[in-house]
Amino acid sequence: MGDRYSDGVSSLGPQTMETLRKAKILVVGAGGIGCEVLKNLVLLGCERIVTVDLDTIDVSNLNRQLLFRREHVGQAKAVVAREVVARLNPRACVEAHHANIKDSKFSVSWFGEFEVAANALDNVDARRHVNRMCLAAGVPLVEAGTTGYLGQVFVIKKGETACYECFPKPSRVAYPICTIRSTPDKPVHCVVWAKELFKLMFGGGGESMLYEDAAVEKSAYAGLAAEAAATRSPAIIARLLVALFETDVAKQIEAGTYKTAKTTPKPLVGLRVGTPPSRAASDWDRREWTVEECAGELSLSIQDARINEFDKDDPAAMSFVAAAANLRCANFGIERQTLYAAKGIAGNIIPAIATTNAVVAGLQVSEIVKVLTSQKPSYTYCLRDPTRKGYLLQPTALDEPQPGCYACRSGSVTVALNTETTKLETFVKKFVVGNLNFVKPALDLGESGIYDEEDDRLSENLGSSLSDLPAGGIKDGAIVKATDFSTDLDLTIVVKHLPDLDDQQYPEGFRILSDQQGPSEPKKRSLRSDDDDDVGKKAPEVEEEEDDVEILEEPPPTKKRPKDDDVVLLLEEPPPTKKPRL
Amino acid sequence: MATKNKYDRQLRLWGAEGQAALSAAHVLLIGAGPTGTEALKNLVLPGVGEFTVVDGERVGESDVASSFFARECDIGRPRAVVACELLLELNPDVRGQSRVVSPEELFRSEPEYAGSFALVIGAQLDPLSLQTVGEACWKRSVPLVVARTCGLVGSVRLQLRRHEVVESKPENTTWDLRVGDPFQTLEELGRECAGMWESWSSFERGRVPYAVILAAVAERFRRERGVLPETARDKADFRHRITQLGGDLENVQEACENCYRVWTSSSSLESLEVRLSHQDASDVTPLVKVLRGIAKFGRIPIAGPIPDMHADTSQFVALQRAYARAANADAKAVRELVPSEVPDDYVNYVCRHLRDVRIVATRSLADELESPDLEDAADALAESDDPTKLAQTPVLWYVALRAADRFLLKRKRWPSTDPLDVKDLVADLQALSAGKLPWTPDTWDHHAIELARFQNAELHAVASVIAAVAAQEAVKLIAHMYLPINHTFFFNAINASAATFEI
Ligand SMILES: [Zn+2]
Repeated sequence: MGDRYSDGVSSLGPQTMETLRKAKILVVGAGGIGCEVLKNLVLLGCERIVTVDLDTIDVSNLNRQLLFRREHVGQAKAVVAREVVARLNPRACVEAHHANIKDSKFSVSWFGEFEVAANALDNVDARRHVNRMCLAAGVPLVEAGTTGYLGQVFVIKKGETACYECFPKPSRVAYPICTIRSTPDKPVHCVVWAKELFKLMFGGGGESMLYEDAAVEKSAYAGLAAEAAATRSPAIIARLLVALFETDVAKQIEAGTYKTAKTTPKPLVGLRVGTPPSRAASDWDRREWTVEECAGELSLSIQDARINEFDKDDPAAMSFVAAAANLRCANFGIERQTLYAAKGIAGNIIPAIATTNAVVAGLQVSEIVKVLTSQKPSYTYCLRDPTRKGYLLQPTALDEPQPGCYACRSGSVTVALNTETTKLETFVKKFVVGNLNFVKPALDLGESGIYDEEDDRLSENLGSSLSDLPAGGIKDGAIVKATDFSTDLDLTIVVKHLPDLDDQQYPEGFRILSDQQGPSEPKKRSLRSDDDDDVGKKAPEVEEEEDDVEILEEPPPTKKRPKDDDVVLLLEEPPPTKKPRL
Repeated sequence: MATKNKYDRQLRLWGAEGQAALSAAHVLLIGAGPTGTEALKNLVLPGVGEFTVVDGERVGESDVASSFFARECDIGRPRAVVACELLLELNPDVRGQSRVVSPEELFRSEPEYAGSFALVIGAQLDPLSLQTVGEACWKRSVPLVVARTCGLVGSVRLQLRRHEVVESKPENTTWDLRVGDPFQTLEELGRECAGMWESWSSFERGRVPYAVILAAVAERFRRERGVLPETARDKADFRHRITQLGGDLENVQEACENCYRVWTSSSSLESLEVRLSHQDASDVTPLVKVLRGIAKFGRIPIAGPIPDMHADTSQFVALQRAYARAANADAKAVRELVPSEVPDDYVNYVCRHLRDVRIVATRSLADELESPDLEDAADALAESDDPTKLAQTPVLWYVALRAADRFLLKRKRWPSTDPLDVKDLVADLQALSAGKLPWTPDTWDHHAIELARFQNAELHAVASVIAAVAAQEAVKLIAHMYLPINHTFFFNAINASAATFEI
């Protein structure tokens, strides 16, 4: 095999090297972690690699995704990544697909051709899909994720170890940073922007996403924002509002920011600072404010806001965010939100870092080697603080598959909703597809089919309420059999009728009662090591994350700990006082 | 949009100050193999200001096989030049140059060379070069990050003679409330609260921030007893007094939970003794100048920020402002006591973070080589009871690697799997461990043979993990934020474990 593999042969042995060369390996995602994994695999001597990525290269990727250069911006990540890594080893055959991994061409049998798959993804949705495809095809999956300075790597093998969906996770959505800063198209983008503005003015600005604009780009509002926060003078605040919602927007349009965008924003010319919505009216926070009212509310809240982290329970801070978000919505022609709704949207942002990606990618490749050589895989955490014995990377035993898991065991899920008002279409789109991640769902009630994406005869049912459906309707206690032809998944859905579901708390119109049979409290995976070194030590809640701003849909229960502060370095000196053994 | 978004993610982590420090730094990389170039890559991508690569070797087959920064077409060219060219492609904002010279030779003839860098990364250095480089960096107090990959294991070692960290960012914020030792406004608020409490309705009582309640009760306690609570009994008594104010009120409950702040929130300089002892340092840095000013000032300046408290908004805002004003006044007073060449912003910065200021040092490489300290490592291992896991313990691997280096130094070659070499290696291992580490005859042989098989190779997947850790430490050191490791990090890819220890 020549010199190229001699290092690998001496460290890993000739047999392992031969296995690595021949194995067909799938890498889903060619972003931050994916670039590193692909590079590592090729340099390790793997010769048959396939990568799939939907994204194109963005400028914001360049500062950590080492395979991409400025001239690659706009090109497909998977394709460029293949070109670059293939050059590292002429013998390596790297195949790239610029496509969505959920596309039907990546069928169960397509997955079945791989000896091992690695997830290097940036969203829960795709991970759940790959998890199910690998389970269906019987392909071991090495899952990895990072959050800030934390990370974890684990192996999923059907029937042997827990799958990605065995333990419920908080659902999250990611938004690209430039969407927040320049091209919002949803209310949530404006809410996140308003929170960053609040942080810039009252939360120690340096960490605000808008800070760089303010400091370097000399945006129209930078100086005024600082001055308004310092003086709280209504006259200065009025000038700040003009700068934020008129001048700066006009400046951006002039700079050509929106040349290629779908819509161009509208500067709010002649914005009048009106009277803030009167608190006397009981619906003041549940009705949509006018633009003038928003300006008045924002002015008032800037006068009242206290210097602190944003806290949705702090009235002035929340008014600030709701009013500022709505004015930005007005700029971009986005539907305005009530304060109540804005409060529901306001979440937390978690950053990520490149070095953690590199560590995790290295560990992921180690696990791939173990899987391919039939060694016992492990679950490795990159910890925030060292354990009592100084461990920062802690290997632990993998969990067993959870009996109630509907992805890897035939489990069931119980959902509560109003069966009389919920239409079948909503049930399918929001719940079966949106929440359960089914790609091609078909639903049976008893012996009757009630929905099948590919059966036109059943499409007339879509407009009916659940309780009015044929075969007796979906009423309280009904059992619906759901099948996903795309991922070979069967699932039992138990439906409970709940006429008075709080639509503020459950805006989607349903509430999941339990994902699993048995204990209804979601079980959190806790870190266990065999010598009980760290019983009770919290495992990092790790989700993927590449370039995007990640919003926790449900804010963490501890309101006083800002999530951003949770980010610490992976490697820190052990604390001076050693924890007593538990 | 282009440059605007580029450093967004780093800014969100280490802030504008950290980014400014990074882009002002000139870093030296010694050793342009896979480990070194991967480490530098992790600094070039996020925008280090400038780098220099020193390496005397030429690109060979094994570089091409295991490095991203050496191509087939580069075989025969100097590694330093090739690495520099390819690394510069990653980020047009970064400047870089190379020197084709063996590190050992360079540092022997120009020992002052290290002095011109913010930080030195030594990657995959042979034991002799490492000694020379280590000594040069130590003499000039330049932080050194040593990165090393050997087959399936690897290490990162920091050598810091004296390193200042202003923002150590501890896991839990220690709030500076001064409730047991109040400044004037807080004292007044406390007195007012004490005077009015009896006449207040439950609603009015519930509006007072807990810091004011604690200040009020502490003041009365001191008046009655002459001192603040010291004994457990006093503390229980104090807590009882708080509870009696109305255990159903949320702010009173908070006061009760935060009682300990009364006896821990001191303004006395004694609690900063360790840091202030550095005012005598021979290297008079701006930080040392500010610490001297604070020593003259006579007490700890108030930090300013306070935690969220259950209270009426206007009362809380007023209290927040009072703390901010007191902090400004203190910082101003300290400013007057610090030489004028130190900028105002820096004085404020130090005053604000004084509790988080740390000045750290590690042993020198030479010192460690001379007299390795295995006591702590041995203690930790003694508690472990699973012999199968013991074998993979990072410390044992580290000692084994050191033994292999010793072999290399003596014999000018890496040990082979030949029984004679293995026997020699085991002998070195035994000598190094000095009976303190729980080796078994099996593990001696096993580790010696494994190391011999590794042939000191830089396996890319392992090198990239080591490099990421080295780069992360470099960022911490350059930014003077977060505590660096003390002093060795060891990664064992065989079971994916890693640990830090001090030897
Ligand atoms: Zn499962």
